[in-house]
Amino acid sequence: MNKIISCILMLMIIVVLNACSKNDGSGYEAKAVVEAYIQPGQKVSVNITREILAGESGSGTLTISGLSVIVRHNGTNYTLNQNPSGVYENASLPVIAGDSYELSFNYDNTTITATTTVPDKPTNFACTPLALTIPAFGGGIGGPPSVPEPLKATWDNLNGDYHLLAIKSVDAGASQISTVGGGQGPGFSNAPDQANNKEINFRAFAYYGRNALILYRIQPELAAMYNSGGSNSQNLTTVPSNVSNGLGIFTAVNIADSVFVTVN
Amino acid sequence: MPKQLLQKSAVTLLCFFTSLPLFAQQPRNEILDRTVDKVFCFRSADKELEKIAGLLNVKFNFNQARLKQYTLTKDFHDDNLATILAAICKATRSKYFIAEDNTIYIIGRRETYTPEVTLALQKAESREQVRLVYEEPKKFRVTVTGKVTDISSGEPLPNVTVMIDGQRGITTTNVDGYFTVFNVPSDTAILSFSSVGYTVSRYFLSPNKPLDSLHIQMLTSRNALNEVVVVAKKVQSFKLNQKVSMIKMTPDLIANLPSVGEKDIFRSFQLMPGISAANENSSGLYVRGGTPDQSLVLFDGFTVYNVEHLFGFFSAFNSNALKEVTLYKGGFESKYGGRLSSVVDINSKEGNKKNFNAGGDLSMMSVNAFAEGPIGKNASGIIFFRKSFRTSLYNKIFDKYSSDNGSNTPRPTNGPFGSNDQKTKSFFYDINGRFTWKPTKKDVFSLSIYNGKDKLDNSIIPAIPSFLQSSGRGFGIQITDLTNWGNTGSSLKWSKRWNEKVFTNSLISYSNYFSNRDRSSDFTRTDTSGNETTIKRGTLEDNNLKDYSIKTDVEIKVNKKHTIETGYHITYNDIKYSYAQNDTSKIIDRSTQGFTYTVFLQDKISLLKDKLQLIAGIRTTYFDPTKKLYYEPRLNATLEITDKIKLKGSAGQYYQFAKRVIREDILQGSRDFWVLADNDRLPVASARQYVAGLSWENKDFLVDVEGYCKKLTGLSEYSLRFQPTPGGLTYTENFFQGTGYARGIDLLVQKKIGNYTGWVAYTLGEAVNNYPVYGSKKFYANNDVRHEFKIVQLYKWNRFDFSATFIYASGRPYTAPSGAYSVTLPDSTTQSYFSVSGKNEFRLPGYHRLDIGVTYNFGDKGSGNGSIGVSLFNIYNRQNVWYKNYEISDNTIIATDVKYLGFTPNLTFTYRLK
Repeated sequence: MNKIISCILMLMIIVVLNACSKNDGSGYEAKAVVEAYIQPGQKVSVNITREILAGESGSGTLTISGLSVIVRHNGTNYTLNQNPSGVYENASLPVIAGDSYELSFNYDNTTITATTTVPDKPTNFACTPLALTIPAFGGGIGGPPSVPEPLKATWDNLNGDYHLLAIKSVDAGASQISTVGGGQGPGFSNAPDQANNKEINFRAFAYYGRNALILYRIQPELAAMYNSGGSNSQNLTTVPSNVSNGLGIFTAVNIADSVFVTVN
Repeated sequence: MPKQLLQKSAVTLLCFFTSLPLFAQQPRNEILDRTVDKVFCFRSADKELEKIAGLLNVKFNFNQARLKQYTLTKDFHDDNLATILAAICKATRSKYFIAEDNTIYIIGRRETYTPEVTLALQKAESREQVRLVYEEPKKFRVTVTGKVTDISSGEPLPNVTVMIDGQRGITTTNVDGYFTVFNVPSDTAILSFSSVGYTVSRYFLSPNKPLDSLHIQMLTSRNALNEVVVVAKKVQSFKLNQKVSMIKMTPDLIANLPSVGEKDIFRSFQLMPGISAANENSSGLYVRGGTPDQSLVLFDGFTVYNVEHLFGFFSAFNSNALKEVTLYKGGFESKYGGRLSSVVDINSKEGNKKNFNAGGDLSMMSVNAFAEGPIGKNASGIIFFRKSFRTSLYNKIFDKYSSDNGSNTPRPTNGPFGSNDQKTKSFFYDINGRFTWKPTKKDVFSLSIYNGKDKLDNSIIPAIPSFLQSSGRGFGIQITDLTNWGNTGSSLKWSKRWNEKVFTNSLISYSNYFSNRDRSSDFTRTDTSGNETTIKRGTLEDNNLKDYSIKTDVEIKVNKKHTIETGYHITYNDIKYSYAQNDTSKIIDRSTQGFTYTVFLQDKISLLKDKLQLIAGIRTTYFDPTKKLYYEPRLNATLEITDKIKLKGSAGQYYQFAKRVIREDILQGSRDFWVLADNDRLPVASARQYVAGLSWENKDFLVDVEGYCKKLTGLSEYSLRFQPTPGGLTYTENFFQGTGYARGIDLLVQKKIGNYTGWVAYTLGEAVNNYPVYGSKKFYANNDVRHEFKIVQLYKWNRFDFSATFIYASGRPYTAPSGAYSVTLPDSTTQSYFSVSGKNEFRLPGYHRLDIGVTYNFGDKGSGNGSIGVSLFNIYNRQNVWYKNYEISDNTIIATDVKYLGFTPNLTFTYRLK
């Protein structure tokens, strides 16, 4: 019987010793991070930085210089040159809706590539009305101010493409609006969707004066960036990227002709 | 043979008489404490006893002729009667007992009893449960049957250990308190009954008493409130060593452990080896590397799918309503199935069968009330209600866990109109009820109902001045963040004792788990014509699980060596899960239904003169969704090497068909939901378990060590990812499949009885997963804890109970970013992203804390009684890390620790009419 006990104790000790084995750590090299939104009418510019490594104390620039960055379009390679700000660009590279573009460069003995296609320009982008009066809040006599109807922005979207609508103040020195709840309320969302219209209530506007409504038609890889992330040790995952062997995004957008709304 | 037995019995009785003082096991009679100032004894013993009787106002009964032969030459100064009697008995070769009328009988050790003494002894025997009279056996090899109940409430007691004095081999009462003991040596044998939370009871068989339908009544520790000096020494707080990997606990006894707000049976189990206490915000059971959903939780026979209140900080079970809870850490028998890791079998109270009783608890977290009593002649009922209320303690826990629980609906800050109407409403409640009817001595019908719910309403209505709403047109905004979850369950059980050998238990049950979440914003606009238009944005999530079950368990005690258990279980599961966005189309709309048909057969076998107990069984399940049969052979064995040393082991196959998966949601907090396996994307999970252990136990101490190993396949994780695909961007349901293993050693050293009790528990464990989606490398599971060390110390002093618990657990694994980067998006917003090289490659700092508690018990059992308790949780304010948050600042990844609860005091008050 003592032998049986001894065998069991030995077995347990073996289990214990095995339980103490460790995971092997592996070295991790910083990857290149690409950020590029190419669009017709704009020169192609690609910002390439390097990833911040864990444990690294932030100092100095993250921009990667000296790369040979090529964008291939219709069988032709275009070399992008680094401007003084560190961004790689090429003004002669034509950006045409419907065409595909392939980015490639070598970094840290690895070839990084990414491909995107320029979406068509959104058509029939319109908004009604084109003027908006922010209610004069503050109480007092004379009855309540009238609440403006929301603006309605519309565009064609027969193929169910993703669109992103942004508002940008174009008047220099425009004064800021105090709105209910402050900033952008729940009536306005930056998240891209596949609709062909969006209602914009007055709370979406941050500045008085002329505001441009900018409608982006975007590719799915960009829409995915809005819905990914995670910032704690319980939900951390690697974000999907269309950059092979690298990080970030290389995508194309196409912007509708801007519509201007005057906010009084 | 009968003659030998007779001699053996006589010797046993003699040993019993001579080795124990007659009243050593009994509560001390107050007359023994009466004290004399000064007595000089120098005459014959009979005369001196008469003198002492006069001085202490007590009555003696003795054989004057015999005691006259002895002369006492002893002086007593400030001595009590117990001391005096001890001296006199020693000098006169006598023993004594106190009769029912407090007369002290002094009897010669070899003296023949007179009829008067015999009668007094019999009365004392029935009162004290100590046999003092020898009887001639008339029958041998008899079968004894009966039932065990609580002496105060009449509640039947399950899992009471029944032993024959001086014999190996034990049996236990079944779920309705019935027991059958075969091959009892004679009709004068002594049976002993022991159960956690109760004093040991002994029953003396007699040729003049029936051997069937015995009614054994046991005393709880509460009954013994005023008798703690001796009786409480026999009360154990839990029982661990009865079967392989089994722990049995009585909820009454967890009341003395320190608690945060609520005494909680699941929290108490977390103090045992092999059950992790490192997840402070989860009352779920992480048993031997398993996850809470791998534990089968049965409440009066129906399956409970969610066991958590208030983000998991408390379990869904009101501990006052529970009679007994049995936890199998592994190696569970064939009658249990459908889970990989462990079983928690909960029996609720049936209600006082003798008297009406009511009571309540008040803590800094909840109010808790119950009422119980007999209903007519053969029925009883009990109902419990518990509801939380907002206090500083509730808010502290709520704020800690709600803010970090994904509750990040956009909230407008105060605008130009003043503050927003943000009235967070949150509460939980639960109701337990049970009605029991015994139409005959052999039939018991029992209806049990449970309903519990958590409601969390974080909705906000921004303050909009009335003048904006009164001109015929206007607008309204409501931000809804409403989460409800809970369970409703019911079972109707019919237990029948057909004869002394056959017992059946039939049950139909219903269980429903629901969890829904509405996180949306309603923007309502009213035009000048008064027409309202509402735009709803956000997400709606709904998980609804229904479980309809019918089952019958049959227990056949074939003979002393074989007890066969067999039965069938049929379960129909209907599980729905939907996830919708912006009140339009549903992104996920799963609906799965399926039957599970199970039969099982097992035999409990006693071999090697009852030294070896084997339980061999097989469980076979036909799972309708996969159209497959699943076989689960299981073997469980214990071998008594000596009276004190026991070897134990088990091996078995386990399958799980309904799974809880975590929906990873980056933006709004991860949520979990139940699904049925389909063997397509969601495989049936499987575990192969092996347990081996050794224990040493005497009447005071237990040392128990068990090693375990589990091999797991068909594990599932789930992710709902927003992914670019060739046809556009879609939400894709990703079920990741994986495998894993868990192994380790549990060690427990327990001081079982006495005023000072407690235990030290240590677990060395490892839980490893392998999901190809995360790479080819194995990684430590989220719940992997390498070392876990717990000390529980309890001390009883008069009416005070002191307790202290210390927990140390080595840090859990976590995923840290290997790198990070920021991207400026076209709308000029900048978003930070992190890259991950390996899952769970890092370890959080070790977790430890010390809790202490003190409880003062007042009143007496049978009249108004209760307790006042103070608990100090995390007394040295250890800042234990829950998880880490990451952000990028100045091209540096900044990690911030999110902490668990710090020092938290708590007060509780309990009162009962009886």
